[in-house]
Amino acid sequence: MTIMEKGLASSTLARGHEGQFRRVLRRLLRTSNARLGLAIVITFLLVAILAPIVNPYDARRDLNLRERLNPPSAEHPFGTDDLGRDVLRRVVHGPRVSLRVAVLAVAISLVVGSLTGLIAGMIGGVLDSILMRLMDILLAFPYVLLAIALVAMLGPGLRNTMIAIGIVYIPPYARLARSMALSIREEDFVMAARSIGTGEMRILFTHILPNGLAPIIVQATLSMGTAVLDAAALGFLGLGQQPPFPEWGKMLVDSIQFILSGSWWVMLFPGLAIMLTVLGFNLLGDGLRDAMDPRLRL
Amino acid sequence: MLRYIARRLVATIPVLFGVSVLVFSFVHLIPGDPAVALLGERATQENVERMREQMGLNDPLYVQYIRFLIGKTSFVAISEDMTYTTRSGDKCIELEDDLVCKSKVSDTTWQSAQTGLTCSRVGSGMICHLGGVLWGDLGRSIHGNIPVTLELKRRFPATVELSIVAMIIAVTIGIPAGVFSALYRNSIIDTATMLGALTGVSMPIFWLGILLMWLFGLVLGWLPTGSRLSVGVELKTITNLYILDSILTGNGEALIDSVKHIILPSIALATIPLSIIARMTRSSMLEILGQDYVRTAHAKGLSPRVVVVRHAMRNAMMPVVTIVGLQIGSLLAGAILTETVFSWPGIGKWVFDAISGRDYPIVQSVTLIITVIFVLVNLLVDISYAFLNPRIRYQ
Repeated sequence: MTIMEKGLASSTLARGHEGQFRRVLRRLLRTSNARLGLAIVITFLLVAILAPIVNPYDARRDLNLRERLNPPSAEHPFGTDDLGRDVLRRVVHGPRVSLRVAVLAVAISLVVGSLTGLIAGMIGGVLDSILMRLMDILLAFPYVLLAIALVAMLGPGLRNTMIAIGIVYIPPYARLARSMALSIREEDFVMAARSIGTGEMRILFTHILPNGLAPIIVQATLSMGTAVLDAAALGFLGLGQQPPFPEWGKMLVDSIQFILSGSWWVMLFPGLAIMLTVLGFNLLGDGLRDAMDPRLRL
Repeated sequence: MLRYIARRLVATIPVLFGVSVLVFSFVHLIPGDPAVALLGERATQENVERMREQMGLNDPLYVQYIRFLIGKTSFVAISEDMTYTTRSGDKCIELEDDLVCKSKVSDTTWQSAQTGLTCSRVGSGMICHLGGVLWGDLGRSIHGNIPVTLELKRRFPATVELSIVAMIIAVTIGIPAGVFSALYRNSIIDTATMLGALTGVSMPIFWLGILLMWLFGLVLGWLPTGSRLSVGVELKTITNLYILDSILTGNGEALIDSVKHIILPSIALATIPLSIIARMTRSSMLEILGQDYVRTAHAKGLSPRVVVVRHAMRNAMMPVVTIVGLQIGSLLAGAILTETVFSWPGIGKWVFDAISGRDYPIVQSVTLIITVIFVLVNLLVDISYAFLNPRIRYQ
């Protein structure tokens, strides 16, 4: 392949990707479920970004014992909690925590997992076996349990929550990336690249990675939802964000004792917020899967 | 078939080995000195040093790992005249400053009440061990110094009962829901089921638990909101599975009471597996319904019922079996959250309390036990799958 031919090939590839991106977006926006999911996700992202600007909140000073456990009213649409704090305000400041944990946890797992899988698939041999057996061991644990145990040992806090969720989410990416590397490395365009002397790393990043991104993106979107759920579960167990800062899971566990006295609003809204966020990511993930690969449509 | 089973069994060994290494290393994840973490910041240097020695933290890692697996195991040669019988009829023997006894009732194990050293007669001697997960000894809790195995035996049936009921709910509702959605694709039934399933996987189960508790326990007052039996209801326990026990002992009152107590937590625990089973059944059914042999069955004039039940469902159940197996792990893990909400006295609530109390040995042991169960269940699922689908065996 001459330099000109190579340039031609890569530009065709690039144009192919441009087209693919638009095609995916068009297909995605065609279904109402995916549109709804995208809208929910964007809303919560906006809330996460704008909440501290529009409505700054200092959790450490928020205390108003005269307004303890007030039911929803015009002044406090979601009511107040046991310390007289406005539930709406705390719920609105929740996505900052949940989405940050989810984004970073998914980023950790995506990067580590994909690299592990790509290396295993590209190099093969003993290294492949070792890496994949390691993944099997991680997969042998019920993942929520492993995350709980890791944070229980590492100590509670947001950083450890992210690390733990990041670790337990690694195996699916590794497996996806490995199978992708295995299937793509035999393709003609990779053979062509190799035959003109392109290095393995370059092949990996310019040829294999872009061509196998679709399933990884779908997996990442779907695991954003589960990461929000798992972060809330760890918060619920007292392992995530520490008080007094608002975190949905922690708000829920604190609310249990006040339900007996009929204060339902303390538990209703944080739970709804978690559910909506997760639902958004799940709808979007399902939509993306259908849009990127119609064969996978269920 | 036997070769397949053997191969799967062999493949499980390295996984279990890896799991044990990972769980063993948990104690080294504790930031700082684990001995300080256990004793508290105000412990004296002397006490910390003694704790480190006791925990074996000064030994090389591989020694610590082997000890974690087999404990302190030793073989002691004994002769019959070394043993003596106490006044209460127990047989005892003195071993290295320790006194191990065998009670009249138990016939094989000798145990020291002081250190927990456990021995069994083998030929002309005794094999004794102290600790070691392979012997089934999971150490002692920090608070109360209770043998973890003992507490586990007491609490595990509660979790098993809850998980079984949850699984029954998930399967009996999930599979028909999935089948009907597939049969009436894009109908209102299908949309409603899939919306329900999507909500089910998006909902935190602990929140659903709180909602159920609030609605059915407090607002409507239909069902109890915590524990396994009402105060005042007596039940003679045999298996510690209360529903089974009340049936076995013919105790109607306890049966009704224990069923009432289990409804809410098991519904909460069942939601995720139920949603996943329904979605899986639907997609699997849709795939099968489009196959040629289903069309052939229709074409040769079989009734739609026969086609669905005998041709489609049987084949569609294959992937569902795997999913059901995989859900058992998530049920046991989900139990931690559900049991916390409903004060259900199983291992989940125990782990929650252990996390709050920083009782590391409990967290470590329960993680190990649940994971080993999960691995073994998956092994059984794989094997049963091979029975159901002969094609698997030859891959």
